[in-house]
Amino acid sequence: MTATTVMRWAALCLLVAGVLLALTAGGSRSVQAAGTRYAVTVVPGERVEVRVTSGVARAVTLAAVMPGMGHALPPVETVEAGPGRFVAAGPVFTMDGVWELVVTVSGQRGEELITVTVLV
Amino acid sequence: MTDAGCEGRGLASGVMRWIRVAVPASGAVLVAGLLAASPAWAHEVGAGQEVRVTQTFGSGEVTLVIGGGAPLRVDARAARPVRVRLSLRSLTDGSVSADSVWAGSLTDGSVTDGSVTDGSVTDGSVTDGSVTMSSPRQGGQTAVLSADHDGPYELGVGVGDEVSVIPIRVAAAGGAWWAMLGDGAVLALGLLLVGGVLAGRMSAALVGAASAAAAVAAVVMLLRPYLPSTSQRPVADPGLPYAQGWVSTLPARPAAGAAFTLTVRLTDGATGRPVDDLAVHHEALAHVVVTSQDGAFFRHVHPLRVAPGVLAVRLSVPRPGRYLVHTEMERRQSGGQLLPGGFDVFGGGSGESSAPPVSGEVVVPRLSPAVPVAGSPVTVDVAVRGPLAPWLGMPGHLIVRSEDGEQLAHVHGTAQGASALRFTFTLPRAGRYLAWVQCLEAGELVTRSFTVEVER
Repeated sequence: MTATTVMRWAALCLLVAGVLLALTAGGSRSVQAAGTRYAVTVVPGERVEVRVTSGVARAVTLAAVMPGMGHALPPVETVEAGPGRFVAAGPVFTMDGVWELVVTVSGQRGEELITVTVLV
Repeated sequence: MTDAGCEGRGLASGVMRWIRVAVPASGAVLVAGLLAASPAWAHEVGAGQEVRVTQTFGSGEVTLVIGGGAPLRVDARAARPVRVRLSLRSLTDGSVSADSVWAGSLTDGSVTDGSVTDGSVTDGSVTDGSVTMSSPRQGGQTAVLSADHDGPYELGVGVGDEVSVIPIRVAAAGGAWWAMLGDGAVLALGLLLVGGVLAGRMSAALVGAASAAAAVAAVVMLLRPYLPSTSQRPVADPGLPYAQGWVSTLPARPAAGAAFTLTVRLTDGATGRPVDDLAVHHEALAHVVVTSQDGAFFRHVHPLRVAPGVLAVRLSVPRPGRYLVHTEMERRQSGGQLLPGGFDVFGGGSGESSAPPVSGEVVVPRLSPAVPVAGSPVTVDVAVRGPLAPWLGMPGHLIVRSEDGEQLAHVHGTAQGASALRFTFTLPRAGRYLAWVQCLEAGELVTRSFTVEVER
């Protein structure tokens, strides 16, 4: 076996690693959750967005809790940015980690609390 | 031969030597890492996994055996025949699958005295000597609930007019593409190494392929936390805050002899939110021991989860007085906790009994030492009429309560043949203790009681 062959295989491994990294890059992922009245998709990011995918919502409030740390943050209101799209009016998560986000949806079908777990 | 050629060959052989040592080692590390990364989720139900959850309905106790991954297969076991309605609702897309099943005998397929009893199911009927019934479903008594995807679900369990909702996670058999890629790489690495060893030499292609497989497996393992999860979800750090329990009854003033609902509300000690992350421990979401202050009444029940952080069970007690409630539960990624509480029962109920209630047959156990000493272990042997079948995963349970109710212990015992159960426990301080032993004899839950005096 020559050094060239070894280098070739090493390059292939790096390529595979690069492809995997490229596929997985992109930060926090959206999370789908369904209650009995509404279904939502939570898109974490600079401004957390909630898309109500089932049911007609009038208002959405977000309350984040970090169970491991034992602290809850004040609820954050959202602004309707489009039909069924609600964007948080302020920051929702204060640090990286595992969060439980309580999404309170109010609308035609009444009020429902949907809890999702988000990795920030 | 040029110097450069010699140098290249030297380098290649050096690399070969390194690879011969490093590749098997990295392969072993990878295998260990992949095994250690198995789901830490208590309710995770994947292919080959099984979770047992026992719940006390008004009509009796029902044990669900949940397994199979996707689709989910659910068996029900109960002391008496009862029809169990099941529904599986996805918390991701809201899809619902429903089925119903007749509960079989408690001893179906369970281990009795080292042998496995056959819960013989023939053409929808179950016969185990004591229970014979016809199932409305043909071809067995396992409910099959479809689960299209991995993730969180709610399993609704209905018996009569009562409904319980058990949160579970279903892991599909296939798994994620990256998990298969990682597993495949580890497999390839192993095969190549074994092949190389068997062939007695490592060809360049073999080493190269093994290196590539090792690299792929290493990359997948390192990226695992950032890859889309299928069978695992982000789990908070271990060590959650304590829970608090609030006991109430409906009606608020229950009458002796009349049915009432006992509710335990669990809240997080740090945030005040409902505690909805109960782990199934010893085959139940929570173990609730209800005793009268004088110890004459005893029930060990497993309340239904009727809402997040809300556990409820229907009860009836024969006499008025003060009743103590000890709720034993465990949050996921956390230790067990005991939450005390109590309620009062008032007289005047139509079913009130004037006869003293009996919390099981009173027995005299054999204690060793005969006079227990506070702070030192005492061994208790209780005679039983075996063979015993496990109840809540154990052959025997001993509940010990201090007379004032400030202390409660739940001890698990071992079977001493078919005629005795043995428990060892340390009583913490002098005083009188009330004790109840529970075990499953011939498919029936039997309770026996006794008292222990600790003089010093």
